[in-house]
Parts: sequence; C-alpha cells; structure tokens
Amino acid sequence: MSDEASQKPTRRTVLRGGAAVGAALTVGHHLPAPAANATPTAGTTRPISLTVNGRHVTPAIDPRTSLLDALRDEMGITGPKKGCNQGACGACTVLLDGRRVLSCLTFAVMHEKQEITTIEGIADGDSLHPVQQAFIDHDAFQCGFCTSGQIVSAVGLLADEPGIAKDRIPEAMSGNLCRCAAYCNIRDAIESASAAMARQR
Amino acid sequence: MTSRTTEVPKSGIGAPVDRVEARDKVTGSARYTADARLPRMTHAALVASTVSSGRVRRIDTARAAAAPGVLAVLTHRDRMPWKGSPADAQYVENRFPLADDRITYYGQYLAVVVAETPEQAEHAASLVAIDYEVHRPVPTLDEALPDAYTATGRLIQPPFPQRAVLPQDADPQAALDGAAVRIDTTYRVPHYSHAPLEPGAVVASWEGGTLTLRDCSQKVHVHRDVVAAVFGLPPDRVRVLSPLVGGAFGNKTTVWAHSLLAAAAARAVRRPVKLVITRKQSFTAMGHQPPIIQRIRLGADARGKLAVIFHDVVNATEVRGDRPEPAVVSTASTYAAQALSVTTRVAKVNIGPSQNLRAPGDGPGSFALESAMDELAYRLDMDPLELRRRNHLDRDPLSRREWSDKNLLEAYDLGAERFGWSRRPAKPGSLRDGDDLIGYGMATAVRGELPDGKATQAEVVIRADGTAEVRAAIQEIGTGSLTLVAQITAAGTGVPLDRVDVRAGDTRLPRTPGNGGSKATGYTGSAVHLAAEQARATAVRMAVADPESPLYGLPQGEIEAGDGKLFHREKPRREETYRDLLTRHGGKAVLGKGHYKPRTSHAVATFGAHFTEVRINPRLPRVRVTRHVGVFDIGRVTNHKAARNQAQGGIVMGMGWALMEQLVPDPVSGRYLGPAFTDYHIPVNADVPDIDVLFVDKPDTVAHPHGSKGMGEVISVGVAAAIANAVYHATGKRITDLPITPDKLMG
Amino acid sequence: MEPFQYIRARDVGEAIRVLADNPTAAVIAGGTDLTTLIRDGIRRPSHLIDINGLDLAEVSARPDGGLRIGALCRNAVSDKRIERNFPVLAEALRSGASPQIRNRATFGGNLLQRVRCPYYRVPEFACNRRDPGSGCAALSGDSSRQAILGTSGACVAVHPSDCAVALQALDAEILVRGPRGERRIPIDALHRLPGRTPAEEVTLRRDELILAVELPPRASSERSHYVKFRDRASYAFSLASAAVAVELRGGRIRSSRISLGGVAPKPWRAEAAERALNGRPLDKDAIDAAAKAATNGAAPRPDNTYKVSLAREVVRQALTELKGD
Repeated sequence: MSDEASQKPTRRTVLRGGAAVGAALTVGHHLPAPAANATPTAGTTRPISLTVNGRHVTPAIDPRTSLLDALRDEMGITGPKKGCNQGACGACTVLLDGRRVLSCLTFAVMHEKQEITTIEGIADGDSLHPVQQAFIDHDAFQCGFCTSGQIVSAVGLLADEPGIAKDRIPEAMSGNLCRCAAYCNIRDAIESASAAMARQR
Repeated sequence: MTSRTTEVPKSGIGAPVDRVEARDKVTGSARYTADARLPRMTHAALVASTVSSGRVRRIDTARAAAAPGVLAVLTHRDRMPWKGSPADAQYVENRFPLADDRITYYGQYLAVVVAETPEQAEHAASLVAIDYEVHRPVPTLDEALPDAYTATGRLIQPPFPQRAVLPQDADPQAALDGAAVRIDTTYRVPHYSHAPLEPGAVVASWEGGTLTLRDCSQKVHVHRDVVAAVFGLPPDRVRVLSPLVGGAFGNKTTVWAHSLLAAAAARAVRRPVKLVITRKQSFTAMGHQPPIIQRIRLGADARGKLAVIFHDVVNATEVRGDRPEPAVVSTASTYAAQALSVTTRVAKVNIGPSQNLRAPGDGPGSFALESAMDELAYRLDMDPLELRRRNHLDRDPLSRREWSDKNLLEAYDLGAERFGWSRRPAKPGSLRDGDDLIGYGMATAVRGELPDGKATQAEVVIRADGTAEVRAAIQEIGTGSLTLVAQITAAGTGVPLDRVDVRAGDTRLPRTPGNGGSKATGYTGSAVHLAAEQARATAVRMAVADPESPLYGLPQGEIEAGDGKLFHREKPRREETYRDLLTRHGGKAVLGKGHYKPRTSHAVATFGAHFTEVRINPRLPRVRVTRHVGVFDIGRVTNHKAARNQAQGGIVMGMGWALMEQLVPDPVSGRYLGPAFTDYHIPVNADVPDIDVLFVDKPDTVAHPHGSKGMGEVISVGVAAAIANAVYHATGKRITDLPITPDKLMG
Repeated sequence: MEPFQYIRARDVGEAIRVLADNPTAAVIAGGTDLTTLIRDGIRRPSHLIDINGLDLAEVSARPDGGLRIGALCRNAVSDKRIERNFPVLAEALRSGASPQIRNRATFGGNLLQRVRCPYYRVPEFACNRRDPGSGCAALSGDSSRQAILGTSGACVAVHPSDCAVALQALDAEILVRGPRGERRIPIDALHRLPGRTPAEEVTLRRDELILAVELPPRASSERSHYVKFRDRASYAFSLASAAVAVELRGGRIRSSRISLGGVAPKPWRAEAAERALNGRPLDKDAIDAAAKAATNGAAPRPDNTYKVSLAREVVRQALTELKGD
C-alpha cells in the first residue's frame, strides 16, 4: 500500500487494499540468490519454497526468522500481527496446510513445500468469506489488531468443526486474546458465519 | 443480548452503522505503525536494564558494533541530541533516555542498536555487555510506604489538590466521631498494565531537517509538541502520523523513550529507522498503573445518609518522578456526604513511569469507594442500591454547579429491573445452585469530564462530485472515532455516509485533544458538527442567492439537507444536489471549519451503574462472572453498534482488573515476574459471559451541542467493586485487595 | 537470537547422528516452546535439527490392545481409541493449550517442554535449572506459583505439562532410540526431581530421540478423568490438576493411578492416594481419604499453602466425577 494511503484510513483505502496485497507478494527478489548446493551455514539465508495464499513463493530466509517475520518483513504480508512473539496472544494465527497455528512459534525454514493461508488469503477475490462478513455485521472488533488472527482462527475452527455448537465457541476461540474485549460479538459472528456456511453447503 | 431504553435510529446519529474501516480490518489490509515500510529503512533494537536500581559501570558495545549488518550503537556515552529539559518538553519522564548512567527501573533502556535487518539488530543488542553496579532497590509499595510524601510539580496530571476538605469549613473528624455507623477499610490494587495487543512501534525518518514519526499515538499533536521540544525544532518541522492504533487505553497518550531513541537513531544513521519494541518492553517501559493503597472511612446516620467520607490514597511512583494517581477525584462527585476529606501521597519504588490507564483514578478509586458503600449497606442491613439512592447527588459539590444532565437514578432503575435485582436475598451466602455459591453485586459509575485547554478544530468539505471529507487529527484506537466523525459529517451536511471520506491521524490536520479522557466524542464530535453545519450553511447561501438554483430566493432557515441534496423543508420538490450546485459554481468545494471550546457553565460528567452475578465453586474457588448488566448515561449515543461493543469491552477490562490482572514484582530484585501475556493474564473469550448493555440515551446539549459525551472511561468505573461486592454476597468474604484470585477465597 | 545451523533430518538415524556429534544441538518438532526459549536466550543451540519430516506421527494399535502414539503426533490429535480407551489423555490434551498451539505441539515435545517458572524464563534471574550453580532466585522471591512436592533447595519449579500427568496415570512408556539402539523409559522415570542438579531435567540421553509414547492396556485406563484448575477459564497453565484412573471390580476399587500436575517439578504420582482407594468402594469416604493422602509429604512455602488444598480438591473432583457409572 502506498504510504499516502496508510496515513488516511478512508473509505477509499478499502478499494486499494486488495491490489496492494497482491503487489506485495513478489517475494525475495531483492535478496541474494543462494548457491545451488548450499549447505546451511549459520547466519546466512536459505532459500525455501512454499505456497502463501495460493501463490508459490521462494524467499531466501535467515533460519532465525519466524514464519511471522518472514511473512511480514520478507513477503510484505502484514495482516498477521506480532502482539507478543511468545505464543500467548494469537494475533499471528495463520493456517498451515489448513490448520490454524501460531506463526510466531515456528521458523519459516521449517515450512518447505507447505501451504500457508493468512488473512489476506481468506476472501474469494472481492467476495468476503462468511466469517469476514459476519465480523463486520456483528462488529466483532474494535482496534482490529487481533482481528486477522481471530478471523483466521475462526476459519480454521469452522473447518475442523463445521456447525460447532454455540457454547463450544468461547473455549475454542480462547487462544485469541482481544484486549478491546469484543468477545461477545466475536462468538456471535462465528455462530452466524457457521450458520451461513451451512446454508451455502 | 443488548437492548436500549429508546428506539435505535435506523439512520443518522445513533444508527448502528458498520465502521468505516471495517472492511480493511477484516481483510488484513488495515495498516498499523509496525506495518509501514520505507525505502532504505533500517531496524533498531533496544538494550534494556536487567537490574532495577544501580549504575552502568561499563558498557561494551564492541562486539555489537562488529556484528553483521550493524550500522550504529548508541549509549549514554554518546551525545544524544536532546534539547532543553524534560519538564519544558512535557516529557513523560524526568530524565531523557540515555541521558546518564543511572538506572532506576527494570527495563530502562541503556542502548539502541541499528542494523539492516530486525534479526541482526536483535542479535547485536544481545551482544552489548554491561557491567552493572547494582544497588538495593525498593521493589514494592509496602517497602516504600514509610517514606510516602505529598507530591508537587508538573507530573500531577490532571492537576488536582493533594489534600482537600469539603466544604472548607467542615470538620470531617468530628463528623466521623459523631456518626452512628462507621466503616474503616483499606483497599489495594496491584500493578496493572494497559497491555494493548499492539506493542509500541515507531518509524522515524528525517528529510531536510524535518522529522516524520509514524507512531502509535492517541494524541498526535501532543506527541508532536513533545518531540519538537525534545529535538529543539519548531513544531511544524515534526510530523506525527498515527493512522490506526492497535489498542491504547491511555497507554499511547504520551511519547515514550523508544520513540525518541528511534528518532535519534534515524538521525545518526541518516536513514529511516523502524523500532518495534518487545512485549516484555511494553510491560516494563511503556507505562502502567502503579500499585495503590486506599483507606476509606465512612460515617453515616442510621438511615444511611452519609455524614462524611475520608479517602486517603498512597500510590507507588517512579524514583525520578512524583506522579500521584487521581483516585480521589470522583469521590466528592459520587455521593452526597456532608463532609469530605481526601489526601493523596506517593512513595518511591524502582518502577518505570506510570501513565493514565482507562478511567485513571476513577478505576481504582471506585473500587475502594463502592466496596466501602457495600460494606456500609450490609452494616445497615440495607439494600446496597437503596443506600446509593439515598445518597444521590443533585449537584456537583466540587464545582458547586448543576450537572449539565444527570440520569443516574433512571440508570439504577433500568439496570435493577433488567438484572432482577429485587430477587436478591439480603443475606450473604444464601444463593446456591448445587454446590456453587451465587452472588449479586452492584456499583455506581461516575466520571467527570475534564476540560481541555486548547480549542478543538475540524474541517468538513463538500465536494462538487457530491462527496464530503472530514479532516481532524483524531486517531482510530478502536473506539469508532472515524465512524463517529463520518456520521456527524453525514448528519450535518446531508451527504450520505458512504460518500464521506475521513482523514485522520496526522498533525497536518486540524488539531483536536485526540483520543483520550473520553474526549473524542464530546470535543472532536462538536467541532466536526460545527464544521459540517458551516459547510452546509455556505452551500445553502450559495443556492438561495443563485438564480439558477431551484432554491433561489428561499429563506436560508427553511432549507434542509439530506441524501446529497438541499431541499425546502415544506416543498421538497424545490431541491438541488450538492453536485449540481457546486458544479455550476466552478466545481469548487465548500469548506466548513469547526472551532470548539465548551462554554457550558455546568458540571459535565457521565454516569452509570453495574449489576453483576458471580458463581463460585467453594472448593475450587475461581470467580466466574455469569451475568452483567451495565447501564450508561452518556448523552446521546452516536452509534449504538460501536457503543455497545465498547461498553462490553470496558466491562471486560474491569473484570480483568477484578479477577486476574497483576504485574508481580520480585520482592528482592524489583524485576517483574513474567512481563508477558503468559503470566499477565487478561480475560479470554471463555471468561466472558454475555453482557447486557443499556443506554439512557438522552441528548445532553448543555454539555456539547450535538448532545453526546464520551464513554471510554465510565464503562469501566465500578466494575471491579461490583464483582467484589458480588463475591461478598456469594461467600461472605470481603476481598479488599485485587485481583480476587483463587488463593484469596480458600481456607 | 544467536545464529544456528538448521538441519532438516531425513531419517531418525541422521537426527541421532547430528545430536551425538554436536553437544549443543537441539531437536525441533512443533517448536511451540523451543522457539521462545531460543528467542529469550535461555537456550542457544548451535544446530537445530528439524524432525518434522520423519515418519513418527502415526497412532497405531499395539497387539496387546494398547496404543502407540508417534512422537510427532500433534496434541490436537482426534482419535476415537484415545477418546474411548484413555479419556484422561483426551481431556488433558484439550485443556493443555489453545487449538493453535495443539495443532503444532507434539507428544515428544510436550514431554520435554521446559518449566514455566518466571525465574527460569527471565534470564536475568539466578536459576540453577538454566545456569547450574547460579542459585535459585525463587527461593527468596515470589513462590505463589511454585511447587509444593518434590522440591529441593536448588529448585522449586513446577512441570507445566498436562499431557504428561495423564500419561503417568495411564502408566505410559516412552520409546526412545539412541546410537546404541532403542529402549523404553517408564513415564515415572522420564522426568527427574531437581535434587542438587535441576539442570538435568530428564533421563533421556542427549543423543536419544523420542520415537513414541506407548499406552499399555490397563483395566483402569478406560475409567479415567482429568481435572485442571487455573486462574482463568482457558489458555493458562494449571495451578493444580489431577489425572485419575480407577479399575472397579465388583463394586470395589481393584487398582488405581492418581497423578498431580501443577504442584511438583515433575508429574507427581500420588501413591498414598492410590493406596487410600484400593480395595474400597468408590464412595465419598474413599474419595475424601484419597484427596487427603494426595498431598502427603507436601512442603509448601508460605505463599503457596493454598496449593495443598487445591491439589486435594482437584483429586476429589476428578474422582467424584468418575463415580457415576
């Protein structure tokens, strides 16, 4: 996203968002290409090949780099947030081969040939995922900093447990802190998204 | 779960509209400070003190400087570019970062490292070797208590008297001695952290002597003024940008050391510097509410009328500052006591600087006062709600002025009815469900509105394409401010909401008090209201003076606006769109400017009441809140959807204070134990019941012209006391030191 | 974070070879604990051996009717055999962490996770477990969360695992392989008490890799239950927990296993509580006696005496909830 846009959260920012995310996905081209038969050496980067939001990418990564930092700093995918970097807040939740995980608690180099889905990959083009739409309808956020993680976590939950009982949602979503505490709306949104997804099926 | 006392409007002010930035937030395209990326950007990491008291004997940066990718390492041995004094700059601490070798708190920054990548910067920071001279710290408030004293000076913010007797000629001691019933209890609240999910982050860049700071700020202009003063620059050479803020709760109302260090580092390396502090650093060096001990003494007659309230406060403060917590501030404005005596003292502890936490003063103050009122009610064998009704205040004794509006009695009635308070058995321990103990508790919430010295500005333009834009230097911290100003602009101009753009979070925009102290709605909302009215009035004048307009010649006062048009009130077919009107007038936009300073001669405050139900298994006594009703009197609600959400969140934060939150210092070293979300527990989804929120929803146009007041603080006031009171009702145990953890209910 | 050499192991043999050759190498599987330990400078491995590619994730029936759970099986595992035959384990896993963490955390890693003592986790504190001989800052500090059983003058930390407590109640064995071949370690013998050498946390040798956890077909395992008590509703380590497994025969308790979590430096087998149960009907008197005996030998510190009651109460609740059959 252009710097100008980032200063002005306006209605029109909404329209620019999608394109900017796509542009940011050209990954790793600015980093030195590794030798073909490189053995891993301390402190240097290492090429990996993985799929992020449906696109094949081959960034060169410092082995110390968490999956979260690789997404944010190397690939420009800033939807996943660093709230604690300790696995205690859930703001960095992404889907790893379809299951929700914390991207701060794993090193990027460990995910060769795996498929990562971040909040940026949840919608179907311009058409929001039912969980995203339900989060808007139910006002399931305030500051929005935890929201990427909440939504990805909810998408992972509903994939694991379609039609989840309402009273199971609070426990199943307790790995995602929300300091603004939109918890009531978050579970209402997930319940309603679950129903909408059932209708779609 | 929520209902209101009045019908929720379907459109206009009050309508439960979606947030204007909602789509950005659910798609991940919302940009926060740490998401910014500038060309040639470098990354900084901080070295923080591992001791809480002492001196840097030696700091060896050689290995760090030689590490891969490192561009600079700055320590107190380097000449930092600070100008003037911390007091002149209104800086949060009494000492600029890296100004000397003295260490007064755990996590105090001792060096900043700049490198090409974040990994390199963090690694190099770990290579800085420090030889400490360790002094014995004062780790806890209890240890500091004997040396408590009365604070003076600039850090008394907001200014309030450190000792006061009201009325001035009263004899509170005599009133207490003569009272039929007396309560004397001491209450404690621990170290709380704001703990927004977004840690501190900043991107600093210099261009031709001008500093641009992308920072997490609730008040960009305050931020700019401090930074400009610290660097000795005129304010227009500093630009602060803060578009979206990932939670704040008071935490981001000031400039912290890491922002100054990032700016200094960017100047040193002549490249932009990004610095995202760690969660641990957010806990140790980015503000907190210090531990507070409060003694409350109440004297009342046999019918519960208060003769006197004593409220004596002592709080921990940092070694290099004297910062009293304003816990007594609302004590006078809550109940009708014939006499009042309040004192505030501070005691020096080796902790970092504190900073206003949501409902500063009133959060902890209400825990003490509302718990004491509950004790008094039981002592009198009186319904706690009835005791509060009997001590209702009809005017503000502090200012001796009428309230601009007050509907607290109505709030009590609404909440009591919704909650089913009348079903409450009087005797503690008498409600059970199986083995579980059930308890009901309630508390009053009062939050006075503090005036802001500077006028609030805003601009609204109506453009020839039929859209409008509102410009004000507010920030979106999660409270819905962008949506609020868009709604007020739409209502004032008649431009549909989905055609209103918002520009915010930039010091190049008109100045507002920012988002803190519940001022965004009352102050900025009013300035926007005035700006929108002015823009519309200008367009109306153009139309009625223009022979080509269908509105030509009509009296201005009979023209209304809506749906992007101006039209005659009684003959709606006499109408013209803004687009047609402005296109004909050369395509120029009309500009309205709002300039707002409240002129009310009344006392302005927000009110509320909390009713809560707890459930406790006596063998494994974790307190579970199972029902909560909050009723708030905040003037006209501008957006029922966002307001309900914010109220629920404020109540949950109060639950966290009541039941689990605390930063625990190691009693020997003064270091925090577990400055992390793994140890500093805040409520998770499963802790939170469905929360019922009601609004009195009556416009208070005496307070502010658009009838709305802020709500960000009052929603949390009294929650902890309501829960503690419910715990007493359930168990017969009066917990006076928060949080109410299981160990305190055992045995 | 110190640089390290990253190695993706192709087979168990390679992982063991690298471990044997590099004294400061570390194995990473789920990484949910190790990443933060490395980030905080508590562990500084020279080599990180990624074993996620190894074929160790399977859950399979043993010929004797027991179950073998591969070391790389994730803690989010959903397996009818576990639910039906070893319910205490299913419950402990569910209460163990958030779904995100359980989707990554493995059985092997869970057993080897490090203590959550704040004095251990913050490297500026003296800690014998982290830096042998440096002292234990917790002894003079805040011990409200510390252990009441099995402590020593060198360490009072609590083992944080829920899964391991359940495994102890199931009499599990840990199958490991090192350069000299495979061996089985009974779960009771895997974790060491701190004694004078708290840094020696497990009996697993430095060059050994956990291959699987094996659950024998004990008659008590089907009637088993886990109760965890913590200071918020979810997503927190336990203040006290109990795993109980009881074999009833003719209305009387024929055998039982009771383990405690959150109160000792290792999963704590409460054998006195088991003795209090065995031979009696599972009634209130027996449960009271077991609850009381569960904390035999407890030596609480002044600020964690409440844990004695908590431990008894979780045992009582676990056994009481078992009863209705």
